[in-house]
Amino acid sequence: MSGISWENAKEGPRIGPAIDRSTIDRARNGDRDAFELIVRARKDAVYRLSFAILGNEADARDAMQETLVTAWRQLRSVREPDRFDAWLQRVVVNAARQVIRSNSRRRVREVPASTVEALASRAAPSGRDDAAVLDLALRRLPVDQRSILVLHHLEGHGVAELAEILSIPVGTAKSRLFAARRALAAAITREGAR
Amino acid sequence: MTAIPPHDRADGDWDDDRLANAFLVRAAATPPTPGDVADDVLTRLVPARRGLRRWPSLAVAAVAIASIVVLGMPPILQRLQPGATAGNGSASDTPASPGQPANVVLGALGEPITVSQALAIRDAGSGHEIRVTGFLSSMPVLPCPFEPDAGNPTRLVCPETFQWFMERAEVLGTSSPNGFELGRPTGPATQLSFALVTWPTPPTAPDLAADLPAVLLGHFHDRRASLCIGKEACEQTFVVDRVESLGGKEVPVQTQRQTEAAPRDDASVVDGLVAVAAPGAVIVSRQLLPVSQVLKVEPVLKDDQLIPFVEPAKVAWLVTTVDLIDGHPAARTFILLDGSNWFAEISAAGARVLERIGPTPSSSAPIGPTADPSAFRTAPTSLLGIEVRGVGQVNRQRQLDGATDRDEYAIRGWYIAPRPEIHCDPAPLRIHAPEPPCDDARAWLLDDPQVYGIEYGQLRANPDPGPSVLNPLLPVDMAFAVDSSWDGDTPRPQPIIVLGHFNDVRVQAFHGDAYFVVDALAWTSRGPAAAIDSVSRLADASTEDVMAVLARVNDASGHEPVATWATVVSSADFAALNPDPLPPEFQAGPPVWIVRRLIATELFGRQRFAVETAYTADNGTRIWLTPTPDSAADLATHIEIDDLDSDTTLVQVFDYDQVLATASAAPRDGSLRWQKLGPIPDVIEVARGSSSREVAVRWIGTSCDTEWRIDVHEAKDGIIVLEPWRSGEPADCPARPVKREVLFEFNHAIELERIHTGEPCCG
Repeated sequence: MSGISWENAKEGPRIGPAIDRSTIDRARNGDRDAFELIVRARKDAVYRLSFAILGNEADARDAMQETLVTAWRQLRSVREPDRFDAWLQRVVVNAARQVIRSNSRRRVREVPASTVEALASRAAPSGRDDAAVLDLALRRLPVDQRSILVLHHLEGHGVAELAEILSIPVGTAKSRLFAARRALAAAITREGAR
Repeated sequence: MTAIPPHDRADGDWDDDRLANAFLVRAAATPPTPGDVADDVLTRLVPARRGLRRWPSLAVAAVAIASIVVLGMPPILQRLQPGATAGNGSASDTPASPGQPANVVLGALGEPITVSQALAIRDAGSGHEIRVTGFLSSMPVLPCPFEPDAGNPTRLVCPETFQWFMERAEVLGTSSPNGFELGRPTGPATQLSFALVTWPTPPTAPDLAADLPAVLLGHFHDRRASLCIGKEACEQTFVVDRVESLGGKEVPVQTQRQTEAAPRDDASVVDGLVAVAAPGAVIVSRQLLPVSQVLKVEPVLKDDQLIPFVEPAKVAWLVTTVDLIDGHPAARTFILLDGSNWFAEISAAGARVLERIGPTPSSSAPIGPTADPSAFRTAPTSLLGIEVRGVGQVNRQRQLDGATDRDEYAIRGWYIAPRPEIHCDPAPLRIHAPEPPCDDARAWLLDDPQVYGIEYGQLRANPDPGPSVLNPLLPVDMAFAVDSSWDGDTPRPQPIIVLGHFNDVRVQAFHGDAYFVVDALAWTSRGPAAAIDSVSRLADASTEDVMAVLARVNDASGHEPVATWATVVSSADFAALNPDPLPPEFQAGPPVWIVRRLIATELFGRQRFAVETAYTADNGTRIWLTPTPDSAADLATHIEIDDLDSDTTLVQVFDYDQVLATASAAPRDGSLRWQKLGPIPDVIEVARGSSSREVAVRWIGTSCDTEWRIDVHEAKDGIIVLEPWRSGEPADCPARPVKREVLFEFNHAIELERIHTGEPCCG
């Protein structure tokens, strides 16, 4: 089955192998085979982003499922197929919001006291330790702030791309990113890992 | 990676690089993508359902009685009378245009000119239609790269960039043992766009010397060049509107088909509409193509209010004509959304809507269904605290706010049921989830009954920002007693007010979010409905008292509903009515109650009404409930353990797979022999209780939330998974570790080794 290639790079944030415009058009027409191609090409990216925002497998699974169903149901509304990936990331962020809202609870994070003490005592934490601290800190943030931080720092989107993905003005994206960074700094401080 | 300005940085130690590295390391720990999720979703998807039986609809009108209304900024400017002198509106798919009696347009076109003369016209900046004689260069078979953005007929891409129309036959290709080379003509020549017509097949290699004499109708300085990247080059393209002759043989006017879909309208209908809109114009070519391809031919429609919103699978007719503009022959283009009333002329400024209305028995007879304009005079203006709005108002708001929410709407409109004799093939199941029917069996809800019959129901049909048409879905378990909206073949629109919402999770069709699902009929011309609440019994077996069911749901919900819609259905039919997967407990056994409750809720800081849904077995005790109206259902019934210890005021145990008899605080009398469990043994311990069915679990950690939740699942291999959750914001914790000890009594013997607690980091 054709439709996926690495050659046809397009504008905009791309989060997986390139997808032919014609494949997206066919999927927008309700072609399930074409949509399956898209799912195969994007499921890893969708799950990665879901997991990065939500921080656990169960929620990431729920968000991935919600994303794929929503994408099918709303794919027709994609006005600019060339911006498909930005649109898909917006769907992921919205799905993550819904998962959080529907859970209205957080998974317990049980870390041995010895681990916390060890983290706090290290003068120069390694990247892996930083990741653990970052993980703890992100869990203290609202999902919208987690989303914008993940999209910026993990997915590498600039402010303009964030604005597009989140459907907000550029100025708003900038201020939200600023606020999220401040909140993250405070959370890192609270986790005692500085 | 975009750098964050210094003032944005988290702090001096956590600079951008450190933060980025931490994100990457954290991401590297992402578990493998679960393969089953995508497979499950793909299995469940419902494709778009097309019309299965052709409806002798208003749209498929005989051309002779078609009318056209010009809709512009003043909504109705002019009504054109049918039967005006047509250009070459023939009823066949290939009208012999050149053979028709000559008219002024053909006369103005005159005899074919040479390529040299054509180039002079081009260089003078003229976009007039001209008829040119010359030779099409021969073409080798070329491998062309993929062009994702070839969306303008004046922008030439491979292989058109290698095609020439020459004044005299020239050999451009030379063959050699190493292949062939293509040169440029030495004499007068131009390059061509065949975006609007079927590209004639010129001789190919090895007959590279065999150029093809042709007469082409077309023009330079096409209006679309202004939207082309490289406007000046695009203006030099000769856009072919018709291939008149090839090799000395006349080529009839053709319809270039880019779709296998069978159109509802045929060429004669389209020609007739054009003839009424542009009397005297000569049709020179037609295209039948999916709407998704229209923007490639007519990029100006990208910003149109309609085209980007039309279901891409729909088919459109594009018709190119030549008419006299200011005394000169020029191309005019018309578009008809197949099977619809939306007909427009396309110019450099966009689409000028010429909405077709018909058929009419005579030009003086009323058009379409009529209705009493005062019918809503006594209708309420709000229902249950929800403002009653028109169809167009609701659609406009959804366009502004996005289409993802599930707010409850009260909508006022004229209702027209499907014609009584229409049946879809195959017929839907007696009990089924709300789903779009075949096109001909759609119900209609309209602000203006006159627009009944437009085919793209959810979409706009006029220049207003919001469409005034909906095709509501009427669930099988919803009472809908409306007077007949048909009197023989005559529609009798009924004024109604309904409650309902978009984006219902039960509608799993492609583009399922666009459908408005009715929850209740609230008002008709006979007055308010007897009751907004309803109970629908789709199960044959006698069932529990509905009041007991509602009380059970009420206890689990915590919300006070303003309306309640209850349905009881046999477990065998449950999945058909509710396609969202729910656990096996509802797939066999007693009938299932589905209780849908309209509640006041909040969405991202905005207050609204929306529907939450609860499921419970008849005479059962367990409730599944949507935690928010936008989420999937979750188990709501649980075991509560109050004051587990000094740190924990409440533990809720959710027994998903019904494996528990009880759950309680573990005895702290020293009778339990704790043993390590899992990869972080200093965090989780288990102990045998007083019987083989009892297991105590101890969690040790720093999380000190006072309320906990523990989900209990049984995996297929008999493994028991205990997932603890905390609720609310994390609290500041004491320095000492927090221990929580819970005793679970299972309803069968359980080995300690079969107790799992999920990821170490998450309990």
